[in-house]
Amino acid sequence: MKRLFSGLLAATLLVLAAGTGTSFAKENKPEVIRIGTSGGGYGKPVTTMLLGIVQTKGLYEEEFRKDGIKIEWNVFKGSGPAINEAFANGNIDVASYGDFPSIIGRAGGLPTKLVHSSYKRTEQYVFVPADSPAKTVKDLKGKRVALGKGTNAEPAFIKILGLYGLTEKDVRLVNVSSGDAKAALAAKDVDAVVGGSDLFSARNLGLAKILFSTDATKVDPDVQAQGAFFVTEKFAKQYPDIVKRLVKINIKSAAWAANPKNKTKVFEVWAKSGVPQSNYKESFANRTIADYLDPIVDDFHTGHYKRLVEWAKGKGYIRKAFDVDKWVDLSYQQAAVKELKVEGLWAEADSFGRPKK
Amino acid sequence: MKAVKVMNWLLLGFALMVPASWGAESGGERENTAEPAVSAGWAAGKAAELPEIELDPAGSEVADKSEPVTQSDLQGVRNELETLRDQWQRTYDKRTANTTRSLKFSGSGQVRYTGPEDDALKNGFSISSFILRFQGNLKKDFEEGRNVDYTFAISNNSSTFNIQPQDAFLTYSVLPTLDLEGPYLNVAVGQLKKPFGWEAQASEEYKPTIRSAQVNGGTKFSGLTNTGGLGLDERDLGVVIRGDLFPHVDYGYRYRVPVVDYAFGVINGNGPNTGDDNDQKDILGRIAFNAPVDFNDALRGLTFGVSGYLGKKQATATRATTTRVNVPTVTPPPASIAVTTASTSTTLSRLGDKKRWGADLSYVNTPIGFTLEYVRGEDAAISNETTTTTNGATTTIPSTSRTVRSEGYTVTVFYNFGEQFQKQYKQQERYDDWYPLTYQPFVRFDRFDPDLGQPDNRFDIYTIGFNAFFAETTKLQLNYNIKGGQIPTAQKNNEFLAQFQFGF
Repeated sequence: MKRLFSGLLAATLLVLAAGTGTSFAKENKPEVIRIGTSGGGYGKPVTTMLLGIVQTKGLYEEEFRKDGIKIEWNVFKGSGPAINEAFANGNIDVASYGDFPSIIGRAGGLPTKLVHSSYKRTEQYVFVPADSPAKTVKDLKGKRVALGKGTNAEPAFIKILGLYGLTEKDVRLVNVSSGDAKAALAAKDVDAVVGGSDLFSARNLGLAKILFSTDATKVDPDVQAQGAFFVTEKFAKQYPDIVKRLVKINIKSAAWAANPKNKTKVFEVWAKSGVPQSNYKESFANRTIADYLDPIVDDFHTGHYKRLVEWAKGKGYIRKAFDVDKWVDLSYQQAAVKELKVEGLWAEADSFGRPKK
Repeated sequence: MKAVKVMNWLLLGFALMVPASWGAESGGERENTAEPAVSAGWAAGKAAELPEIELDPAGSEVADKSEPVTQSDLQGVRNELETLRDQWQRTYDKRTANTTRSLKFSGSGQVRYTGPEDDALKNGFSISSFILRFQGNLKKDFEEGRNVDYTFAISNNSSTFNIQPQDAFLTYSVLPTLDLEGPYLNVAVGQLKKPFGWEAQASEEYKPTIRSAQVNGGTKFSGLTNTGGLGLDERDLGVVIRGDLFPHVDYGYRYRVPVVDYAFGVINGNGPNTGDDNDQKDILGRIAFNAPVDFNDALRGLTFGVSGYLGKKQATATRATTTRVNVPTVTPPPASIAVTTASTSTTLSRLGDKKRWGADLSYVNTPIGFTLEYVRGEDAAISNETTTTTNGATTTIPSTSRTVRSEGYTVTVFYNFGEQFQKQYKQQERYDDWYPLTYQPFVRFDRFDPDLGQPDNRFDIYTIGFNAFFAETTKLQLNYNIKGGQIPTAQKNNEFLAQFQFGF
């Protein structure tokens, strides 16, 4: 029996060693870079936005192939809250996600650094069933409104309600993932859905109509969502050169996407996520991709995050505010912009989003 | 290229001339409304000054040279779609199983290897459990989630392949289930788990050991007298309400934890697949308090619960009657032997109390967790009655009643590393058949004394184990059980167990 017991222990140690082996780096480089991003709501492991370009074109893989570093894409259906969970459990090293979940995560103690912007001014839309009698957002009083709680859509919609003299207490918010929102609208399980341009498909099928659009209304830019690229403090401390290379690829991709001649190619890349190109064409009819994928953390970007932190604290979503300036680390962004010689490519804005003179 | 530049200049100029319109409906919070900042780089002719950014090798992209789609191309696509539609319809008609209401099949199996230390006992493989479960929905409430659901499961007997019902119950959600911030409440009727304790109600996924705690009744040791525990693992028939109060929701992680979890039931108390043995129903319940903290808090997963059970049982014993006569023998020295001329044996039963009290403390977090559980039982018991008549003289030893007090507790400490228990991490798309890996070493101490009134009958089991979750619903468990306590040395047979548990 002693032999049996020894064998058991040996087997246990072997499995333990196999299980933990992947987390130890042999040199000053990781064996794998684990990336978190949103998407997957359409059954495809492909994301959109800035990392959608990087992922689809295999830019990280190409960059780190020579170092033998693997790239692991985690495309979460659960959007920002799922990314927070993954960060909290040490499952990912870097991620691109929206402002609201990222500040909730940071306020709760997630050890992350904001290293560059990944998108700005995301349009938010309020969709209602095609035969809905609602004429304005005000008509949604007392109605069921679906959105992904904890995602960018939540503060955006609460601010939209504010434009019409309503608060979140005047409607019944129902937590629905972006993938389920279309079905909820079609089945009329809800009276409205807050979401992005991916829901244009529902409208094109005659299932929905747009009740409100930040694009059409030109509202306060804080109503629109922003996102950023984050890295864990541990990863940044351990592998600063790797982070630098990741950021350089991201900013190079943003510069490529900013070129108007690449607009159609960007839509083609994003369409791989399952959202038709026509949705993107419509969404970007009156704006540029350069504006949207502006990777520069400027006064507008930090100002937006600071105001959102205060708003979230006021609403009770976070218990304590934190210093956004200490969260932001501009060194990677600045180095990449300089190396790529793309200074001045993106116009900087003041804290409230107005062009700097 | 020139035309594009000119157009960009025009657009920029137009944008700068457009009057500000933000805040038109926002109540004028901003002191100054303005147009959005335009990324003027490309528009201002930066493109000409900056290095050309290329991401792809030449020719690797879909170029804008594609030919327009012709009517002929479209017709081809239509024909293809019609063919696919017909094929799908034929397959659906011929090979698709249908049900009246929604139905989900699931189940689990356990293949076990037992290696006892005692050479007198046989080692070998067994199917320790096989469960086939059918679950579905009888009424779906899309608006609030007040659904009516059903569950029916069959399982094999642990020692034979006889199939018998395990779960059979209906559940109605009295309160909405779609609102994370509201309390939940549902009622279940049928044969189901008893709402008592922590481990007895936990799903297999969260039980680190192969054998259940002795006090729950799941341990059947080879070579050790099986006491049957207190039967807390068994299903029973009745009505159970479960709910929670004061939920705390951390939307940053989509995490919901109620301050109070409660479950109360009225059951027969006589076990599964049988009727009651008395007219009085047993009542039981558990109330648990969870730490109402955010997901990323060190106290997440801390729960304290207390359980109680008040019931009646038929205590049974044997009433034996023996009639004897002494017959002289012929062999010297003179003597006689007793010859039984008649005997009867009947069952003697008496209604008595069955009580259980329990407390549990658990901390299930990443990476460390522990569970402590204590259960105390009181069961009515009666002794056998014997009546012996020898040569006309009758002697009776009457049956006596007593209360058997028992107690048991377990302490389990485990260490998880991996993603198996992270709900949202598992909800992602991958091109491959991806699953999270998790490893869980643990140690456990399990003590049970089936009768505190009797000396030297306390059983202790120390378990060293390791679980490997190597697919979404599959785990390999390795346990080494060291038996101790106040039992005969001959029964202190340590054993090695390996179990492969799979779910589908």
